[in-house]
Amino acid sequence: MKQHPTVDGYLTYDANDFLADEYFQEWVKYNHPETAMFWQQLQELHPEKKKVIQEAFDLLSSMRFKTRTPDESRTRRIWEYIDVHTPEHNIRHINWHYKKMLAAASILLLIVLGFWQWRKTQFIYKDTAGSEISRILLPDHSEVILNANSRLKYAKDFNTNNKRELWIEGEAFFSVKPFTDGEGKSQPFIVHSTDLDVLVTGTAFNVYARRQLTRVVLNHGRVTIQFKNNRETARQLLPGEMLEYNETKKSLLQQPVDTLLFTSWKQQRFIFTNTPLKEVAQIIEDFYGCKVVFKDQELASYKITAEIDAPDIASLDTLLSKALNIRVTKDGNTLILESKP
Amino acid sequence: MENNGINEDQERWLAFQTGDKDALAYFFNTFIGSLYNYGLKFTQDEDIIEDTIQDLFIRLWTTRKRLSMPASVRNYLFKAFRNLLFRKLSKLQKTSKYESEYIFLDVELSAETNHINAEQQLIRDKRLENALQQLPHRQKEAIYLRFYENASYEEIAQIMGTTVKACYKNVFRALSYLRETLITVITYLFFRLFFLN
Repeated sequence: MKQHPTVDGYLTYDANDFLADEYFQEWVKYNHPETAMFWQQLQELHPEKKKVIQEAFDLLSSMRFKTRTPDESRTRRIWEYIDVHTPEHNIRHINWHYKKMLAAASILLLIVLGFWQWRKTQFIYKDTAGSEISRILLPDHSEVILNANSRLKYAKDFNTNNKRELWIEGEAFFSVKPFTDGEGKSQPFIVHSTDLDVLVTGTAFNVYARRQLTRVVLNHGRVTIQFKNNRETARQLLPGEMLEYNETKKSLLQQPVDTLLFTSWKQQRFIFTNTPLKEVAQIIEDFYGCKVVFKDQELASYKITAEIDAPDIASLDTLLSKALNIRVTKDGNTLILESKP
Repeated sequence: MENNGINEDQERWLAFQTGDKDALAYFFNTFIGSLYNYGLKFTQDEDIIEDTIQDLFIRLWTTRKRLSMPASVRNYLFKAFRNLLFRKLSKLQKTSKYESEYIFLDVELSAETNHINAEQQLIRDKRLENALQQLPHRQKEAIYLRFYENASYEEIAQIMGTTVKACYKNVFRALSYLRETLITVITYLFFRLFFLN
């Protein structure tokens, strides 16, 4: 929209011209008030155009595109490869002489650093496979229950140097033991996710960090949430509250919830209350590490209320099919849902 | 393309040029989904797409100091991604001349029209889908970028390396063709209805 369009400019347009017109397309897609006003006015001034405009509008508004984005593990794999191959410092523009000295110095430095690194911050990784839930006892006797398809990372020297730090991808429930150092100061316990940090004293809470979404549910105790971006200020959560943050959508929500619903996975149980099938599908994808596809889009909006023990993946399709009276077919790692004819 | 995102992206671009890895990660996380989806329009081989995305971001990083600030980071990435992908595809001889084989446009047309019933809608959608798949590749790509990525004609021209006029023509022809198909289908349905009764 470089120049503002005028009504007169459109008088010679037929349906095809409208279809391909940028300003017209903007109207159909976004329906901004000022755009809508322009097109309303045009139709009032020139009622003979109403029919073709309506026709073009109908066709454009009925176009939908199917999307397929990479799953979480693929995205992670792609990034890990890029991460390794994009070193933070490259010594490209330095002359030879200097380079040799630098090389010698850096080898020395590397040896020292490497040793230091090896001693100080070697990480322990705990990974869970699809439908696997594992219980991890940390050196400070805090407990982590790690949901399926998740990864927990912490330093080998966790709990020394007054630092208790963990990194989570996926979902986990934390029961934190209060811990004081020699001088009686309580030692912080920090859980990092991609977009935010949870600061804790003695507390039990759940962190969900998948699909660009981080959700923290606090069962008891007290936590402080700090955001990695600097737009949001730190927030405190009270017991029974949930905080949900989506970095891409920039949405932030804090509200009281039934904590049981968010931690039932620890007992390998799914609880759904009026949950759209689309969300159920996401939960299945997260837990089993498979893909769920809707052949009929209207299925996605079906609401489900149920409380079930997580079945093993082999009987998942029969269970879904019976419970929802739909057809479920399995294709490799993908479940295809469609309504019965 | 949202206008409000641009300045923020450009700020991040400056940070990225001075070697801020977080800025690179930000661009990766922001655009991985749409680049991946765009790539799938040219090949169903996800490993090639994965490869291309890795190459794209690694190149971006190693050449960052020589790059100038793009008006739109997304456009820049789309264009660079497209070039890399085509080079890769022709090298692998998956397509000797990409223009002749590529683009599978996965488009649904769903109209909530009151006049036709479910069965008729099915027939209509099928016909429209066929019509879409028969469009020339450049028309399909232009349609995809315009309506899915919401790129302006000017931006499409940049990404596809062509002129604004050519893009407009591509979109115009594609949509006119779809419209004609739709009219034929509706006439057909009308007659069917008429004779069945």
